Amino acid sequence: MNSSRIISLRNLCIIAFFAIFLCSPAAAQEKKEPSRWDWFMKAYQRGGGALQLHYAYDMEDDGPEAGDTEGYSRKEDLWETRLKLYAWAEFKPWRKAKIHLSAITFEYIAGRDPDESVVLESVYRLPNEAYLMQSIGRFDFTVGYQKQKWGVNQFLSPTNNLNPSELRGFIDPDPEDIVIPIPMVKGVFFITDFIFIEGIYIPLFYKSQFHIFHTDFALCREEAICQVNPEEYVPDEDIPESEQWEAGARIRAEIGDFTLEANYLHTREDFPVFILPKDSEGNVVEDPHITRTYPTYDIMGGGIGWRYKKVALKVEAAYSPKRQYTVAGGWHTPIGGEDRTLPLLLAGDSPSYTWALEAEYAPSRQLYLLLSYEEIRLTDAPDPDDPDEPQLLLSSEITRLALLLGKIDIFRERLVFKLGAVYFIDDDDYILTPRIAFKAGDHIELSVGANVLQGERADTNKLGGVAPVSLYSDADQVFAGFRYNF
Amino acid sequence: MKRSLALLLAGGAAVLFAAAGINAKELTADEVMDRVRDNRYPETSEAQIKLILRGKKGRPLTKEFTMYRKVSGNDAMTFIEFEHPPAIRGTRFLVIQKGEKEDTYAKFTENPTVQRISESQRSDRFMGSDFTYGDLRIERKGDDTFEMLGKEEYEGYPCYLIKSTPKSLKKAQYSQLKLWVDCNKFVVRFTEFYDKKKRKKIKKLKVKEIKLIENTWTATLSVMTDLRDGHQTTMELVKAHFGVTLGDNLFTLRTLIGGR
Repeated sequence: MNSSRIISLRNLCIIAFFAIFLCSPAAAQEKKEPSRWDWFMKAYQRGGGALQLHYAYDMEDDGPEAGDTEGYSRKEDLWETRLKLYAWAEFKPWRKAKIHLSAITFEYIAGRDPDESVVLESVYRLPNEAYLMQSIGRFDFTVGYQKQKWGVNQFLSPTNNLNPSELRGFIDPDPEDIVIPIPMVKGVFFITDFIFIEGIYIPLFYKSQFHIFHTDFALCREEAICQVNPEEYVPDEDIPESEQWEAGARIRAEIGDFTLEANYLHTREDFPVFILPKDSEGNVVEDPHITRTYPTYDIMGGGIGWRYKKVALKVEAAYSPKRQYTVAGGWHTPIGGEDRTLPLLLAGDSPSYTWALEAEYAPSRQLYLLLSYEEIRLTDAPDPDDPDEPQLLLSSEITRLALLLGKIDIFRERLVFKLGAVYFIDDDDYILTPRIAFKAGDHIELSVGANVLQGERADTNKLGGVAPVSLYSDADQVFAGFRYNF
Repeated sequence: MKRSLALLLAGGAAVLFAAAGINAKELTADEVMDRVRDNRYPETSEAQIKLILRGKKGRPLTKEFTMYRKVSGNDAMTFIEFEHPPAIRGTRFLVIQKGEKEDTYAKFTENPTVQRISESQRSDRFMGSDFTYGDLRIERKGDDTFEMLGKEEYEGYPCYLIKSTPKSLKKAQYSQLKLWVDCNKFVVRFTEFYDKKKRKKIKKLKVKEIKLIENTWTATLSVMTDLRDGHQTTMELVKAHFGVTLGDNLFTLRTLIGGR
């Protein structure tokens, strides 16, 4: 997929963002007459942002050396600096309308090895949300870059398929980084105050994006290898960007202690898969190459949540007659750099289902616990060990993971302790993400934390049993952060 | 028994009936509290409030929010939106009290979905302050029993000393309150809060400043102290308007999610 158009649109949003903020006042001063600046000041409702400095040390381990596998692997024994400026603003240009603009206006990432030589350096500018919302009676219409969460579950949500994940956010979750906004047209009709129907259309669909050499990830120490029949794929078939889209609808209701949702999503996308075809004896028969898979699929799902006093239970499920699952993958397009495709994919053309169960325990606002479990299954999947059967999938199942998330606020929410513990049941791998954040004042927040990743790297997120792609490995990181909110 | 924020905002507004010749000395506890309540909850109100949180150590933290409220008898709708500090700007709360039913919803900035505050969480601290989530609601008439303990001066002001106990301890936050109600302005000048289980005094609320705003005596500065850890929350009423026009569409999940 050529992402240049998307990128140009995204840059356009940033330019518009700055144009409103910076150009208009200057123009107003020159003209010395009522201008857009007056309109701007009148329409401006609120705004804010954050300046964040993040300093991390990627601990050395016995894994491969930095730089192998063309930058896919995690860098070790590396000092990493990240500086980010995030800003947002809301406007009310006319009655019952709202414009929301937000962007990571600047992000600088640099890594230094023990010899003080810079081994990584990059600058990003990423739009966050940029949309216009207009209310007409019981109808809300929104257009622009948006984040949209579907489903009833908080963390593992099989029906929350709209926004690509900001994969760095999985273990480094700044509030603005959790998911990536996408261009979307959305209409919501409120039947009552607590029941609504929503329809969405996403004209330019694209998958997850993240910084390929961000050292939080131990990615792809080995190439993604899967056993495939290359004839079953359509190599190098580019689906024009204009033909890639998503559309869906959902109905959601809050009835007493229950939350109910049903949704349907249709996707047509060009999804790249990096493959290394092998024969039944494991011999490489072609050079590694990128191909496409399953451009059209449907997902239908729903969930129910029930809260009783301190406990909440949520169940969510999704079914797809033909579906691919992304473990991690997509496009990486650093500004000024070349596009790359990440090959981590779990895919299948057989019917599939996913279900997830979440249990929340919140005895008070000071303590929050969440336990989550998810299963992904492709039914009627070909046997990966059968050499005569076309292997149209990379993996048939993931007993995804169990998650325990704890949050403790003490000293009147000045000190917050969070622990994320993700356990991959199939692979006996886990990731621990302890965090301590301290509010030093109304604006300043200090944090320390670690990412502890443990597992058999040849098995984690294994693809078909013959495709060792490791998302997590013995690559730990400790970090300290400073965040100034304004 | 739950005390609402309006107790501190409208603060037992002045009763001008005194000027009309009503003899306050003859009032019963219920009559006093009726007058406090009647003047505490105007039909509609809009208030800008600042909370200053002070612990024994560390810098004070400030939180600012705007509260909109619409009251009709025992029914009420309350919408709160935080403006400060920046990290929680846009956090919103919605409390709907209708008949016996009561629902509290929250939209925190870090979470895209609406959360429901369960009944058991209502005695939790409101955004780290010494007030509670239960304080966001209005006090329903008939939920409490009032007993006149006599008249007592509080810091030189003649006050009714009234004991308030909940009719249903199960639903209450506290086992009892002791209220010092200004005899002339019908503002609660001082309140003691007693723990639900151990029945010990756990908090005190001192009103430091009362102003006449739009013909209503209103507590504009008050300090809640948690006696267990010495933590204090100062509540300052920055701005208040009563009798404003508020549409019902403000008090909906739609507004909670999308903002005003």
